[in-house]
Amino acid sequence: MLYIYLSTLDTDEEKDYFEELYLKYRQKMYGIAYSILHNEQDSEDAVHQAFLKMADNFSKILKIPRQELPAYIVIIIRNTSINIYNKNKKRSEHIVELRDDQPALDIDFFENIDYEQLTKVISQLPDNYKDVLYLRYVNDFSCKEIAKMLDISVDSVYKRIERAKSSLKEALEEGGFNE
Amino acid sequence: MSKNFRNALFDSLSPEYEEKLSAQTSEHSFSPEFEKKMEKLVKRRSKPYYKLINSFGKRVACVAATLLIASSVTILSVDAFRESFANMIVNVYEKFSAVSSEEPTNSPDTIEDIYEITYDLSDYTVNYEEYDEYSRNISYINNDISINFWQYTKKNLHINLNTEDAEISTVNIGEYEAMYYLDNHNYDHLIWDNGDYLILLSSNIGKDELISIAKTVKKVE
Repeated sequence: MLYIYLSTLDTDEEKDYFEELYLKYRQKMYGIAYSILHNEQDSEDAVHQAFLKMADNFSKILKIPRQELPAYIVIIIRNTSINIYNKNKKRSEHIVELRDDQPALDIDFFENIDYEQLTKVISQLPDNYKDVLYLRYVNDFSCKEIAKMLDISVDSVYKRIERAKSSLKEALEEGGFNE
Repeated sequence: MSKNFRNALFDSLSPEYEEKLSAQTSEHSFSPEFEKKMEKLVKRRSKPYYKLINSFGKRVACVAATLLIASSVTILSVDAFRESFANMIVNVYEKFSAVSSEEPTNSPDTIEDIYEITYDLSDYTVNYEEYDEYSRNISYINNDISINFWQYTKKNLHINLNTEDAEISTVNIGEYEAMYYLDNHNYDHLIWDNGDYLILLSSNIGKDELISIAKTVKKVE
């Protein structure tokens, strides 16, 4: 018999799912972290920090469909590792500032763009732009949630998203990114 | 929101992220300190988040109740729907549905028999594969068309399905009755219980073609 339960979520089940994600992805996450940090201790720290962030956002992670989960895992571990790398090197993140007079670009701009052209320019974006756009518009996280996940300010998330959209718009108008 | 933009992000970036993840073959032996920290994190997961999860659950339950009442026409074959999902629990939420096992005692604990699509996919290439003790996932691609196949053991089963804005219905796959829905990325999905395993197929190839493919899923080993 199928039962459609409209009950509250079972916390034991949540816990099991968290553990399942941990066991399933920890090696792959370590591999990504190590490819950035080249240090075992730092890579383990990155995996641990990434799971702490996932624990903080677990109610949202539960809503991520399976087909979108690999992207989320890659984004979270890659950005956590980059943050550790930058802290180790005492490098501050370089954020491209928007001009004060630059208005936010409504994503409806992309509604009537040729699909093939749009996917092509998206794939050519820098990783940090891809990550925030995916988290914001595919996973549906808020700027505040993304900021917490990526260890950057809400303002930086907003600016990065706007800069990413502006870059896409410019690339579409120019027929692609310059190689 | 622009669906064109969202779908373009999903279609262009998801394969890239999946490839990045599947390319990792690390077999690192984690340090005892790391294992201890993670064990603590996994153990303490239930308590601090209980309140949040509980209130979230109540909220989605209300939404789900409304959706079910509103979609009574879609789920008019409640008896058949229930019959076809022996041992499956489906939690229907606002933006997704969670599927888990109810009574997996008679099914294999791990993947013992291999099921695969036996349909002629010679025009396709395999662009993603992931296997573990409890699940198997193969994705095939041919230009813009992708076909994704999953085989899950029913033990420890917990999968989330993107059923936001989707109408859930049932279709026959041979002797089995499968749950069917079209998601908001225009991917058709079929999920059925073949007695031992849960089989899931998704694709943008079209509903009828996907059903034809589903009918060819067979035990190969």
